[in-house]
Formats: sequence, C-alpha cells, structure tokens
Amino acid sequence: MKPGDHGLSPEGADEAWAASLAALDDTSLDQVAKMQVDPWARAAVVCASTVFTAPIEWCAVLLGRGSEVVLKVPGSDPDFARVLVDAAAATGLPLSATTDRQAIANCEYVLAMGSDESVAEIGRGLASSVAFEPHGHRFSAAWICGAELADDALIPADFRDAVGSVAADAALYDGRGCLSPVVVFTTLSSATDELAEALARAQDRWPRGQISDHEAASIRTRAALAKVTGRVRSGRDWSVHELPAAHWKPIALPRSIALVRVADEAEAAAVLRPWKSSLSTIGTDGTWEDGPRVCRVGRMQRPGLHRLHDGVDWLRTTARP
Amino acid sequence: MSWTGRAAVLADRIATFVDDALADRKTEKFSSLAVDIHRWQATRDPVVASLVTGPVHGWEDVPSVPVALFKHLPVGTVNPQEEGHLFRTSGTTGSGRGIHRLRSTALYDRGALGWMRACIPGPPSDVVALLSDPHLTPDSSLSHMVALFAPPGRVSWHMREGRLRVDELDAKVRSSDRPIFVAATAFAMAEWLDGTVPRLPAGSVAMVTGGFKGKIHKLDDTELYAEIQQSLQPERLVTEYGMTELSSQLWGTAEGPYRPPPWLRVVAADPQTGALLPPRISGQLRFYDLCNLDGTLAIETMDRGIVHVDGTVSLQGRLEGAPARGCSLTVEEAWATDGSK
Repeated sequence: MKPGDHGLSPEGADEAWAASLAALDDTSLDQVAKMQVDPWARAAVVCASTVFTAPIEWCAVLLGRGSEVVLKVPGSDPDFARVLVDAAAATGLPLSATTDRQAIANCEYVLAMGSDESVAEIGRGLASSVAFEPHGHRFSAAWICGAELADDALIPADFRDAVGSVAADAALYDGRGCLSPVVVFTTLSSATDELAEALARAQDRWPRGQISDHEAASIRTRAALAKVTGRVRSGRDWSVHELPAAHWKPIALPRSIALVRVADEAEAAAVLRPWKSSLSTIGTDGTWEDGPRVCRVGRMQRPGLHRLHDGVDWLRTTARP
Repeated sequence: MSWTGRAAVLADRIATFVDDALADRKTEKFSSLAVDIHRWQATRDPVVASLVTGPVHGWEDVPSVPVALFKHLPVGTVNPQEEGHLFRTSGTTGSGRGIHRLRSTALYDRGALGWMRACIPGPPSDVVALLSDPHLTPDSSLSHMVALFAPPGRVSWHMREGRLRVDELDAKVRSSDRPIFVAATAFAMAEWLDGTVPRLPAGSVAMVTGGFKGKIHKLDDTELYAEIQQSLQPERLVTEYGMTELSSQLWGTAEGPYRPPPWLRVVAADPQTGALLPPRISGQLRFYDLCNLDGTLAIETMDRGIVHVDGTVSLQGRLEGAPARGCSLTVEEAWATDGSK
C-alpha cells in the first residue's frame, strides 16, 4: 500500500519512496547496530509536512535500537503514518502515530522537524529534562565547478553527470525538502542550458506534482526578476532562473532553480555567508571547504545514514549521551 | 519637479481623464491611454521593457510588474535621486522596502482626493489620523493621502515613533464638536479598540485600511468592523485598499466590494498560469492604474480576489499555499531580509 502522494506525481512519489528506502541498506544498518549506545526508552519524531518519507530513517534507527517511538504527523496525511505503524507492528516494533502534539510530552527524546517557529513552540512545551533536537528552516545549495565525478549507483542512471545530478536532487520531492538544492553556484558558462536540459529530462521521468497558487505565482515573480537581471530558461513545470548574486535569496520553489555565476568557490561562499546558519547541505562535483554537510551532487536528497544532519551527529543524538 | 516633453503630454491626458470621469463626462478610451502610457514607460524603464513579450494592443496586454520586484529594482521612469517625491513600503530596515518614485504628486493627489469625495460624499473636513505625520514620515503614501482629505491644520496625527498615542487620540475625539474623519490601519484601529474608546461625534466617518495581511490578531476583519460600529458608532464606515506601488485607491464598505476609480482597472489572473480570468472567477489580482505615470502602469500582487462584472473587487486575502514553512522562506519573506539573524 502506498500512502497519499503529498501532491507529488505518482512517479515522483515512487521515486521518493525508493530513495528513502535505499538508505536503509544492510551495511549501513549493521554499522548503526554496532554503535555502543544506550537507547532512549521512549522517543518522539515530529514530522514536517514537506518530505513525507523523512521520518523513515529516524524511526528505523530508533526502533532498531529498542526505543518505543511516537510519530507525530501533520493532520494532512494520517494514511502515511498508518503504513509505517502497520509495517512496524508486523515485526513487533513499538511504533505509534498521532496528530496530537500533547502525546509527545512524556517522551525522553523529541526530534522535531518544521519551521523555526513551530519547532521552537514544540520545544517550549517540553519539560527541561527532555532531550530536544530541533531541525528548523534550512536550505541547500549546489556548487558545480566542472570537476570529474565518480559514478554512483544510487543516483538514477541518466542523471549521474554533475548537472544531471543537480536536476535529480531538485526533482525529488519537487524540491521541497531542506536537502534540496535551491541554487546552483557555478563557474561553467554552459550550466544554465545544461541544467535546463536536465530539468526537462527530470520532468519527463518524474513529472512535477501539484503546486500551490502561491508557489506558482512566486515562480513567475522570480522569473520576472531573472528576465530583468539575468536569464530565464523554462519549460513545462520547470525553470532555471539565472540571477546576479546581489538579487539571489534562498527561496525554495518547486522545480525552479536559481543559478548564480561566480568566479570561484570563495565567491560562492561569500554569497552564502549571510545565510550560513540556515544552510543544510552543499552538493558539489568538486570540493567545498566549510559546510555542515558536503556531499556529491545527486546524493543531496539521497543521504546515507552516516552523516551530519544540520551539523548534528544524529546517530549519536538518537541515543542517550 | 514636473513632467516635460512626452511625459507632460501624457500627464495632461491623464489629468483630463480623471477630471472627465469625476464630472461624469465622456473620457478618452482607457485602453488607448493605457497603451500610450505603457509604450512611453517601456522606453524609460528597463524593468518594463524586459517584461514585454509581445505586441501590446490593449491594456490587458501590458505586462504587469510583480510587487516584490519593487524591493529589488528601481521600477519606474524616475531615476534614483531625481525624484520629486518618494514613497516606500512599510518596513523597518533599509533593505527589502519597495520604492515608488514620482516626479510630482499632482496626478496622485488629483485622483486620490477626487475619488475619495466621489465615494464618500460630503466627508467631514476634520481628520483624526491613527497614522504618523507625513512631515515626519514623508515616505508614507498612506499618510500623504490622508493629509489631502482636510485643509492644513485640520488634520491631527496620533502615531509617533511607532506607537499609537491613545490618550491624546481619546482627548482629541472627545473635544471634537463636529463630524470627524477617522483614518486608521486595521492594526491601529484594533489597538485603539482594545481600550475604552469615546464615541465619535454625529456624522463622523471611520476609515479602515490594510486588513490584517495574514498576521495574527484576535479580531478578524468582520469582527473589527462590528467592533467599530458598536464602540465608535460612526455614521459611515468605509474601507480603503491601496498600496505604495500604485497611485490610486479603491473604496468600499464593510458589507460591499471595493470600487476602483474609472482610471484604474482590476483583473484577476490564474495564479498557476498567469492567464487573465473573466469576471466572477477568483484569482490573483492585477491593477492597471493610469495615474501611475512615473511608476509602472500594471502591478501584480499576491492578493486573491474576485473582480465583478461591474469592475468592483472583493478581496479574499493572500494567495494560499505559501511554501510549507518547514524548510523555506516565502518570496516576500526572503526578499525582505538580508539573511542576518
């Protein structure tokens, strides 16, 4: 049974499921199991409404260690939670789901994903003895410099070149996740056209799902800015907005990526500096000196279990210190 | 500063249009004047020129500038530092505030005062404003507009340094022995009503503008209007819709839609595609304002509404579905900040 598609196309939802489950390979789970940790007795995972598969890895790790887990989900998709609860029950794992925020009050550990305001509100409602791990507003960026990329079997076959990988990252969840690249910084003169071609291929393979009226209008607004200050390439349900750095802000728009030309990594880093505290991931075909999480493009939204999440060693924090 | 050359010719045509419309005389065709204004603006404003995608035969073909662009770019036909007057959108920081530059407020003033009097016949000639004095905040278009509604010396201003001066406002109202025109934003009005307010003198008008724009307040618009009627008891309660980026305003009542002046056309567009919609279909609102000679003729907002067959407008709030705030700023939020926390 597949849950609601969260506004994604059927192809997009299938790809989201596949990507999230691919991270739970035997080798990774064995490595987690070997960590000498003391599990929380009762833990809660508070989900945001964007990346519907986000709680899967957290639940897998917590349950695998022996924690009882309460999944607090948005009211908009109780079906998805039921799928996970039923799957856990089939193997005797203690996972429950609720839309009631009060149900998490007696947990030892609470992980909350969402806006800065909502996670702060959740934190204020918890006792000081609760280990609270908030993950609020974040965005991610790609840095493409034309370096040679290693192949990666976890990335869809037609999207393993640098720009294709960015498109694959941007297409997953229609770009709504905090690991999704909202901007590409690049030194490559051909990047706008290459990214346009890759987004068109991504659209063919995983058509974009529904977007809100506000998102649609926002895409047109930024397209207008790019028409005046830079360049626009667009097609059915996708666009590339080439903008000068001075006019770029980190806005996540579904299947619409900003592109900023820079001279080098240092210039890209300078553009990102005012937003550094909100930066989640840098995806690159080369190297990047300083970021909470740096990975190969194509793996931004296909992270392995062993990583920092917003700079946090989450495999450690999901157990007692 | 005033208009010269081609701009002066257009300004004269616009002024004549306004005067003829207010006098119920036959006006020049809206579309032909709109297209001429647009064509002149496109030669002077790179923003408008960049947004033209095809031939412009009528006013509906004129490309609209998204309001958010005013925070980024110098939109309009007046170069920075050359303006005769300047309005800024609200905000507390230098970055992220939209700017509307004008060579002259002559057209703005003509249209604003004329249409207000057409919509509110016989308005009181004393104004009590829950706004800041335009001498202190000359970049506030709302204060500038309200200052037009009474002769100099007959307007009192009761917002200073961001605070509503409730005691002096109450005293002013209590001491008024003739009708007054009370002008307020929804937030200021709601703040005033939080206390015990004096009843307005007989024949008074209460004007509310702005709504709550998605911000949380214990009263919604309907409740606010009811509270005004009950506590202040104005003879007339009117609503005003305007924005810094436009030169003209729409007037309405608590129960009815907003009326645009004859020199302002409103249309709803499909938010998903940008295509114009016929009347009575809810959509994203665009405004085509002949008086916006120095700015840009056509503006696209993020407001939703219905344009009725008679051209009046019912507002329905902001477009729904701002990016789930889990991971993203909205366009408006992002462009209003420089990222520092």
